[in-house]
Amino acid sequence: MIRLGVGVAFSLLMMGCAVSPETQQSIDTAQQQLDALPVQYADAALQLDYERARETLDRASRFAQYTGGEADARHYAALSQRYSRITALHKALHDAQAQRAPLQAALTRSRQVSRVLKRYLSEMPADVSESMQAWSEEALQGQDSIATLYFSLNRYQFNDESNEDSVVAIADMLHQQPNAYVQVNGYSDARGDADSKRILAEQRAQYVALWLQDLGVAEDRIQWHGYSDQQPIAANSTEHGRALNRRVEVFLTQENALH
Amino acid sequence: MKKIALFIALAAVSACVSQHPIPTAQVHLAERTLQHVQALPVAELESWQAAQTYWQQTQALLASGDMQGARRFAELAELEARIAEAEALLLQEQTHQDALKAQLQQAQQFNREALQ
Repeated sequence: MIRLGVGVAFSLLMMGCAVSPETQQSIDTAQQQLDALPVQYADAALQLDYERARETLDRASRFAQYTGGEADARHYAALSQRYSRITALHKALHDAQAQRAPLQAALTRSRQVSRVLKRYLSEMPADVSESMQAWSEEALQGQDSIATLYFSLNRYQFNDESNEDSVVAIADMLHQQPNAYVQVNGYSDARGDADSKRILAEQRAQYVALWLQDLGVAEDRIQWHGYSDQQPIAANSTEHGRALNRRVEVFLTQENALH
Repeated sequence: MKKIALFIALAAVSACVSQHPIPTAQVHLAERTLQHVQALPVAELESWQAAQTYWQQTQALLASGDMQGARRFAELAELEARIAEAEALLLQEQTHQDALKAQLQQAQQFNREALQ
């Protein structure tokens, strides 16, 4: 009985009075900072800092309940706020780092386009403009493709200068014909499963479309589509035939042909 | 380093009459973190200045024998230094990406206008 009385008296003594506004404010701020953070992180170190923010806040809340625990409560709330800040900063850093690779890739492609353009412009004869004008007008009247670009096995990027030069010439022609639109059709050879053939054909068409955009052709003037191994132009039974089928065909069209 | 050893020796004497143990682990962790972060461009960051202030207070409290206070300030110094580190790294990354974006814009502008 006496032991129980002592226990109750001790508990009552340890139970604090109301928490001071300063301490409560510190705990509330820590709670807000923690609540603003995601709960799960792919990075283990980041997860650990988040867990520490949570644990120190729990300790702050526990200390705040006891007489004499205010200083510890404020200290752990201060630690929790800092762990939350560290977690938020490292998350922002991870997110920023993830954006660097696509940015670097875009810069690499743009620089490649610049190199090809400089070569094209330096090698272009002075009187090419007139023949380009005539060629583009002829192309607009006809049904034939203005260019066919060929691709290596399982690749959608350009391997050689001829594809690069062709795509720059197409862009040049589109600048000569500001009202013309361009249709880019991608194809694969007949090997591989249906999905990989479809994806590869789309990637080839899209890659050419991206180059044209990089060369200043407005996105709404370009329509691209992948046709898998449909409409082969050669037999798929020989390597030579398959190489001819791995292609992108580019057509110049009148405005109303697309819309 | 010698300075810290001296502080800890002094603290050991004081700790005999204190109910709180010497915060050796916290002090060493704070010191290691501060040394590591010092190599980054943090000089002008508020968090770095706060870390240094907390570190000075840690040393003063160690000397005066206030082990509980020293532990608290050592923990704060370490975390402020880690905040400074993350802020500096984020700033470096943003500066690097801004430079990449400027180069990309320049290349894209040339590419768009070259044929016109």
